[in-house]
Amino acid sequence: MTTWVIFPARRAVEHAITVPELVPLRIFAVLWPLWEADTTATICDEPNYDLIDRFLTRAVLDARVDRVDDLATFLGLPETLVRRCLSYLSNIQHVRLDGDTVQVTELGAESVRADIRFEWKESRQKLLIERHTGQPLPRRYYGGSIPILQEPAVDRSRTDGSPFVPLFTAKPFEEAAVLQLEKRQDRAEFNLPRRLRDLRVLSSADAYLPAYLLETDTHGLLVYTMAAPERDGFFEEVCRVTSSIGDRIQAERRHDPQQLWTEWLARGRAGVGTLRQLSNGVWRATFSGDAFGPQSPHHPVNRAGTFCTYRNQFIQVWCDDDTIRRAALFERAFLMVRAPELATVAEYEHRLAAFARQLELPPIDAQAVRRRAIAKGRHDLVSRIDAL
Amino acid sequence: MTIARLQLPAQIAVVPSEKAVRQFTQAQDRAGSTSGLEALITELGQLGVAGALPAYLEQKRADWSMEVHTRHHLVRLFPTKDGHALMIGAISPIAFRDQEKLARHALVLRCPAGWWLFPQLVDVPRNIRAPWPLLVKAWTDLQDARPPGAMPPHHETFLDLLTEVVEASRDIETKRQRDSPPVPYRQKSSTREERHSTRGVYAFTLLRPGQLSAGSMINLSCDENIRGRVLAVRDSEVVIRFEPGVDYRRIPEQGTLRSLPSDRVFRTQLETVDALRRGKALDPTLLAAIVDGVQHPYQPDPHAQPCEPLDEDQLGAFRRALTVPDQLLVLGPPGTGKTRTITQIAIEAAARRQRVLITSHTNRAVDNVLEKLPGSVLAIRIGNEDTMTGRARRYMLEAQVDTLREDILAATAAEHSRLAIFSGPEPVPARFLAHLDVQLGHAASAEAELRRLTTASQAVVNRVTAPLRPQLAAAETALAQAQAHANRAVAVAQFAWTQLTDSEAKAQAGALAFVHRWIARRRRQRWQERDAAARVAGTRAAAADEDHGELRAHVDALIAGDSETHRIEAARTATTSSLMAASSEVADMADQLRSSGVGRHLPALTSSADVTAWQGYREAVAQELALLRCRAGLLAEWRGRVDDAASAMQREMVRYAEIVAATCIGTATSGLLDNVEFDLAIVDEAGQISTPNLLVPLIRARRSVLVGDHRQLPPFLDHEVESWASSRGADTDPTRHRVLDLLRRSTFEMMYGARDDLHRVMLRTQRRMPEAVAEFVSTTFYRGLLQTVHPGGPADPVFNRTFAMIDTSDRPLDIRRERRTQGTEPSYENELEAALITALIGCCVERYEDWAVIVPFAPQVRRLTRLLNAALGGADVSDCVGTVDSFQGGERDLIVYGFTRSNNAGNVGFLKELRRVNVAISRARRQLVVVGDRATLCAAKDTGFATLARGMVDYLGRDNAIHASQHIEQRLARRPGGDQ
Repeated sequence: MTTWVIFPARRAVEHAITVPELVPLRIFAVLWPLWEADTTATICDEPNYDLIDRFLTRAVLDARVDRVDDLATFLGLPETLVRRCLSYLSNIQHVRLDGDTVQVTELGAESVRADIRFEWKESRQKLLIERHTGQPLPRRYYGGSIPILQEPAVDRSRTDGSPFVPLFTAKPFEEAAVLQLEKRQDRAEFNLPRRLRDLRVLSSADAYLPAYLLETDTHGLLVYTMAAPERDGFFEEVCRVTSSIGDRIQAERRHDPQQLWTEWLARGRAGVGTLRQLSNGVWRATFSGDAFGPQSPHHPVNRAGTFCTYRNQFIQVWCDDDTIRRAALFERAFLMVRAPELATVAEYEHRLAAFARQLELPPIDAQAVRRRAIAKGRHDLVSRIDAL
Repeated sequence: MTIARLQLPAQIAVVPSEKAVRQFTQAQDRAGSTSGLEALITELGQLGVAGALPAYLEQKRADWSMEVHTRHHLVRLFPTKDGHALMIGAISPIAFRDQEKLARHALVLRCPAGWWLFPQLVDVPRNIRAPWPLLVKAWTDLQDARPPGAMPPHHETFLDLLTEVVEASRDIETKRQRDSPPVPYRQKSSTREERHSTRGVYAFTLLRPGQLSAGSMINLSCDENIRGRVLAVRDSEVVIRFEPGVDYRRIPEQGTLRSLPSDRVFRTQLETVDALRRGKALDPTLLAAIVDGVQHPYQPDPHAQPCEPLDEDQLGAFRRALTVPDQLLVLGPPGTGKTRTITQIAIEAAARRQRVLITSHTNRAVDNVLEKLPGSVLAIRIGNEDTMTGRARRYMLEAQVDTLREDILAATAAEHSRLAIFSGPEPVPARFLAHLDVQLGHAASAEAELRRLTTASQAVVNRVTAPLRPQLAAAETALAQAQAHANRAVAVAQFAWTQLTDSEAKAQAGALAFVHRWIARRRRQRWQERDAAARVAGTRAAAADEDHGELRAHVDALIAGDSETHRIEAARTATTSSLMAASSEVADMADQLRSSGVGRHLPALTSSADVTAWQGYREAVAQELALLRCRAGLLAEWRGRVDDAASAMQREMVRYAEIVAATCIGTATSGLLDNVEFDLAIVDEAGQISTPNLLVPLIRARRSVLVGDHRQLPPFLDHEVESWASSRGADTDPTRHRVLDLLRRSTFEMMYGARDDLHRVMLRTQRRMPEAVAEFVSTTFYRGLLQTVHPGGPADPVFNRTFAMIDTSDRPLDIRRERRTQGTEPSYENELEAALITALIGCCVERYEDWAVIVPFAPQVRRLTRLLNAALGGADVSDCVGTVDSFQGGERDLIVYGFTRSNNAGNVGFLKELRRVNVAISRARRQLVVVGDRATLCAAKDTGFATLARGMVDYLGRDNAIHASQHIEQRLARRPGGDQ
């Protein structure tokens, strides 16, 4: 099963139209350029103690058993094992060995008191830097579910087919931005460990983060990425301070929506639709109920109420028939329940309510979805709902 | 995004084409903008000065053009013929998508001297030259540039081919398993199988035998959640170990089992290739070594000594293995002591604090080395307990941790109970300390009391002497004066005497003697007077002394008579004895403590009443008791944790282990080794391991030693995979050959030929085979390099040669010929050969400790097993008859090899895999007999095999070691079975 690199564009649009006091006009799928800096630093790792290491150190420090043979006798361990363990503890500078006498070091004592086996070690880590501003990316971008691409191209089977354009910036990589992190107290916010020395950059490579940019009527930009459940504040700030991004978007000629959507309808095969622009600026194409169905040339039922994109603009596909829209609502409910980040019923119902509003339908609750799932024989979904 | 920054130092002249001007003006009008071309060029100039002008070059046929990007426009430029300026060919509004090109490659230009617009070409000053050559060079360099640290393309190709091979193998295997029908069973039962955990082990009786193999995963068709692994297959009975939590009652009495496609192995191989791609192999030289044959020079350790003696070649391998920085290949023909060499290398490397991984393709090979390690080495075995050999099980991590835990609890039990008194709510030591404190309290208060008494006593004296003090003082003064007076008088008299004697001496002689006599007389007089005075003064002093003495005695009598003085004395005596009592009590307690062993190193106490010293002692005791309390607590905690912390201890044991043994795939699939890095990997039977399998352990080690023999069995190659490879791609595709090579040859074989002497060693002395066998093997397979050290021994009396052949070509074809058996693949058996072999074994078996019959075909194996079972009175011979695969790595005193193929067309089928013949005949320790149809074998269509056959026939023929089958039959018949 391929995992998608980013949710479909329509999800970004669905959220953008709910933002008060602005109207989203166009959507651009981009690959945001990042630097992936390969860094090395001496960090203090904080693994838990295992068993023998902890008790050996305590035996020396607290119980003052400081000879190798005495330690072996006291803990009932074979002497070879004790020596191996002490050799390891000596390598990580928790103890000092002087012949057969053992002494615990400062670091060792500190570790015992904290019950954490502090270990200073060379650690290599890749840090992500936003390329326009040289800002390091906060922690949330380092999650495993955030796909970072190494090439300015995306596997189309992992997207909804939107054409992703990599943004270009000529700014070179500046080591200083990374090295500054060593001095910051809040560096844990940027995925660096709390205790760290001698941060050095070894090399830097390209990296790209898929994102959607939404141009608004106030010449602002909304940004959506996998890292944020709604808008991505970090990148919106980058857009605000980097004029070239907005410039490029503005330079892109805006097609007249009426003409554009008429052309789009003409290309489509799913029957005749009527176009109109809503009071909030969103364009809508209304089709009759029989234009929706499971097979081509019909629109799939789950498309009712959601958005299609064409040439950077978007339109809401609509059906005045409530039953079709209700069916679409339930299909979306079924999809939503499988989202891995969903944890509670309250969250689920909140999302359902938002989508119901978009479809101009009364909200449904989790129980209603559950009943429908049973009726359709979707037991896997039932158990998923129950698990929430 | 490959960006190169380019500085164009000179001025840049641009001239607009008419078309460009027109386009631009129209576009500006449409956009309602009033800025002209000059503004655009100014913007170009500004971007250039800032070093932020992106440019993209394209070549159409021989013509170059360049695009530069401004805020709103894309300007297309061409070189002018005269080379002085750039011609603006087109200006278009920038579209969002135009960035995409730049994202691949871009030049970012810095133009400090600016961009200058000229209306026409002729207006351009002649001294300006367009920077076209610089641009083209920078652009072409950019295209060729690879990001730093990127992998060379031919390495990527190699990894791509590997990926393809693994994926194809996986797909073929998965399909095969999916296509195999479900296996019905008619009975289930519980078993007596040895249990190592709480998972249920049950037996199933299949309706038809032979459809499942040991090691495969299955589930029940009725409930796919009931899964397990096949432990053993015995005819129709299959024993399965189920996953934890399986309820026996839920398994139906009759049902069907499905084989589950397991892609664990393939997934591991793909992950390994991916790791190599990402540069995550611990040995950075690995890919270059395999693909390019790169080798790094180094010095073998000339002084390293093994624990057991090694021969010259083994020692050479040993010394190289300890210091080789990349990969060492050791070619070990049969009987040359590979296991011994490997063991010594592992032991020495471990002694040098290196972490060693011992690995191979099969569990048997891994366990072989493990069993030979001395007990002083910390070694653990990681893997699936079902597939380990029995003896290796005790090295299993779980087993070792269990043993360690038991040992710890046993070893610390005594101390734990001894220390138990130091912890707990009302510990004895606390009471001891309390008692000590009490005694010290007594002593201190006694001392204080004594001091008080002394003060009181002094008070009495003062009181009593008060009225008499003036008298006393007067008497003392008088005495002092009188004494002083007396002393003075004596001194004066003494002086007078001295003068007198001086004068008398002078009066004895000399001219003035008479004067001196006169002086002497006067001086005598004076002395007499002084002397008398002194006597008087002395008497007076004595009298004053007497007076004083009387007065003193009077005072003393008064004091002594005072009642309080009595009281004080009595108290003083009592207090002193109380102090003595406390002090001896303390001394006793100290003794007790010391003799109990606890206060061993506390200072000794004398009974003298030194309270300060005692305080010090008390502190020392308190500290010691606190320490013991701490130890008691720690020990109790330790014992408690040891009892229930199995997985933490497992992790630790892996970290401390000096040697870890696991199969190639096992190193990746056991999570325990995930973050473990090895300093050295030793791979056994490397000639049998395919590249995808070999890479799995090698990426986890910094350097490696590969021990194997590519003249013995090659890696197993599934015939379906082989046919996929043979027809893959176009006939002319060069990678087809590479893929086939990857499948057919082990990494060992691919690398061995190109290694230099530092990186390859051949073990040339074999100790297993008799010389006659070894010589043939050496010439045929090892270019004559193999030598023999063998105790020798008598040949079998039937043959009189340790290597002999029974030739069936003396019989007519219809008697000696092979018989093809039914089945999906062609397979063969041979009645005559089977009969001969059976007779031979029946006759000779008593002479040998162990024996084996090796034949190439399963039907012949079955036939021989039946015949031999019968001939040997029902004994189970299944361990002694088989194909080469069953005996690989082993050895027997007597080996009988039956070629089986016999026909008049020279067909020998897969006998042409000569390496299998090598393995078969090199198992022999004392005697080798081959049985075959000389005519068929020497006339084989396969030239390689024919050469081998003819070589063997010549070799044996020279020694009269070829015997006609009829002749042997008669000879065997004459000897009753079991005779000498």
